[in-house]
Amino acid sequence: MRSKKVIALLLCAIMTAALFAGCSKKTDTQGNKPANDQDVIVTLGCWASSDAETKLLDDQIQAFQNAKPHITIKKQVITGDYLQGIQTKIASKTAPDIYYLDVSLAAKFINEKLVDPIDKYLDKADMEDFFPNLLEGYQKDGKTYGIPKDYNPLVLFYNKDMFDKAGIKPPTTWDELKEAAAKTTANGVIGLTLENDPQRFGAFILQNGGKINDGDKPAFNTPEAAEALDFYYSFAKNKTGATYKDMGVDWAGPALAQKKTAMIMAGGWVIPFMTQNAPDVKYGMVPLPKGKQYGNLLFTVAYVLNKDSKHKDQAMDVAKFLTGKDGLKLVADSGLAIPSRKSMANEYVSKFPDRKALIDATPGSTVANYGLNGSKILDVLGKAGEKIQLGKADSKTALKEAEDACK
Amino acid sequence: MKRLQSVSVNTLKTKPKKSNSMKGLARREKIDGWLFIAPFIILCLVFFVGPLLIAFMLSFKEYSFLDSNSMFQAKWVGIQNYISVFKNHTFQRALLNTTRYSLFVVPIQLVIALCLALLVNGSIKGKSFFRTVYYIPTQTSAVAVAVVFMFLFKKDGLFNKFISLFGLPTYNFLSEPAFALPVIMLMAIWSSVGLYMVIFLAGLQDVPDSLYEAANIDGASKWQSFRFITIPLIKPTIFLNVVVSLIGCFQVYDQAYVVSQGNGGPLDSTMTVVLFLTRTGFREFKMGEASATAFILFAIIFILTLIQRKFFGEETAM
Repeated sequence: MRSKKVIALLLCAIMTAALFAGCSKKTDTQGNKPANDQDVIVTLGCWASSDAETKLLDDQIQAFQNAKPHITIKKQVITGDYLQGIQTKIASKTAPDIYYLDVSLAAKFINEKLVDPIDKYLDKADMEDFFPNLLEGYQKDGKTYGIPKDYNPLVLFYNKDMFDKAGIKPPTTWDELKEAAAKTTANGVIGLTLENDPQRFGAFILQNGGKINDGDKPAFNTPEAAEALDFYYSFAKNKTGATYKDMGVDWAGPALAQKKTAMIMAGGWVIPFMTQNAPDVKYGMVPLPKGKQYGNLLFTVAYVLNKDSKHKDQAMDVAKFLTGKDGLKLVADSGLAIPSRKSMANEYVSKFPDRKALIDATPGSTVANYGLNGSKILDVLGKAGEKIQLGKADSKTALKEAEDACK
Repeated sequence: MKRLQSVSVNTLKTKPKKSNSMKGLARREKIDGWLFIAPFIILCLVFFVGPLLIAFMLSFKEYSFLDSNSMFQAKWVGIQNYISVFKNHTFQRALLNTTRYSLFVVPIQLVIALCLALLVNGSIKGKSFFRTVYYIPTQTSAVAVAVVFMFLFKKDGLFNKFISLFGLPTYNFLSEPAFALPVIMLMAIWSSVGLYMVIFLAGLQDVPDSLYEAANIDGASKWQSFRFITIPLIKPTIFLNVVVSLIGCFQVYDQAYVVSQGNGGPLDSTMTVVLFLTRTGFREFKMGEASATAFILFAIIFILTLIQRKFFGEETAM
């Protein structure tokens, strides 16, 4: 009788304790022994992506392990919404030592001092090899906070068969773009795919001499920007362009793959999609056409150093290796993304000559860092685009309203 | 006499002893009781009451997950968060959308659910088959349902093909501000009608047959027995369903998230209060305002439930 009760009590206690078993803080035993820097574990935060990209990162990590076996890299894959995931990790002080950071968030993370300046770990001469307009996205007050791992500019993807049929060449100016869209719109095919996304039509604002932001402030309420939006949405008015939603697809890639459109504006991420889903579609890439000047956006991701990291030196060893020549050669060879080093860009072009446009599109482009209020600016500009596309407002009014909404 | 005395002495002797052991037993039982519910109580405190209190505290603070200070050190700002949420145009739009959504979805969904429940409560053939069929959508994840509805209502989707057969104009329903929210309403009605049907069914089966027989003998029509027997007797069930359905409607999130790819578009037409909340907290890094939004939503639902309780009478209180 008594023993039964004891057992019941014990079980109760165990059940209660078990509830918290998962909550205990995992302390890596090696980390508590700073006597020698042997066998250190560096955590690397990344998002979940396609199998091919996961394999690429695993290969890079493997290459690092072979070179420096005393540092063990542990991947921390954040599934679901990355920004949400990394925020909860930062708040609970469990953020990884180094992690991916999209350039659009760089200003915020630097301003909140979540990431350390890394200049002292870097070799100045070696940093010359990186595209300067990529590094700019992670620099503030002369300090560098991240090493870009790869990037993508926007280029114009076009369907070669449709262009041959219309007897035209890929456009290089706004007028030629207009003509190309008009000539390829036929038999249910729409010339140009539009998106109500400032990360697309923003390039046109830049090409017209306009700006999206000036530091942390919005700077899009200008005649130049209004003119650019007028031009961009003139395709919708003339029925020579339509949004991908209007074509019944989820993003621009399938519109090109399903031969619903002759031209889309996108980055290199479309290439693996096309190879997998539409090997029969013949397409080419050219840099975006010029307006008053060349203008384009660059999307990049960098490794940043967590300010609370316990092994900053080792963590930077990892980051430097992954973005070093050996690490980025793997990226270049995989063809999944464009390496952020100029020297590796040549490597990339020699391996994939038909993708030269992606490299040619890089100089003169602006990195997609919209300052501290970036997410607000993108949000209101996107709505402005929707208003113009749906005919609810003209460009001037829409941009004025967008600027007011930023306040 | 002697015997009696001894008995009384005996009782006197044992009485305090017995009550002592009773007390001990009661105390032990109390401890055992607490121990047995401890796993639940602790879970509830750690994962429900605790976060609730912290969220309430945060709604009066200026805080973001990116702050280097902990949330306890964050600055108190009084009711500033509540004021700026109420002044926010997107929030006003979200509240309007959510209210419109609830006003449509709750009555339509409950009427359909009641009709279905009446149908499968009758003596039709294969009623358990139909009960199962109507309940299946409830088991499907909201995201899967949203993806299927997007497939149906896209520009070249099945619904557009169907209406074009009759020469009607086709729309891109999900990027027209006027149609995007109704599609989500339709989705919600279709996917959760089964749940309310099952609850109604349980209520209907509690109504004794003898009442209907008596009404029948008195010459009551079908409608009369429905109006004067069924409705009054399932009033508590109706109350329960209205409350649960309304709470669910005000918390609509996943369908709107999937349809608008997380931004509440086109032109904020699918922005709901909870979608606004997550965007404020995680995209604009204002956890304080997000928590304030949550408590505003709580207050709205709470007041509406109180009003309904008044409306349905005290005796139906759950």
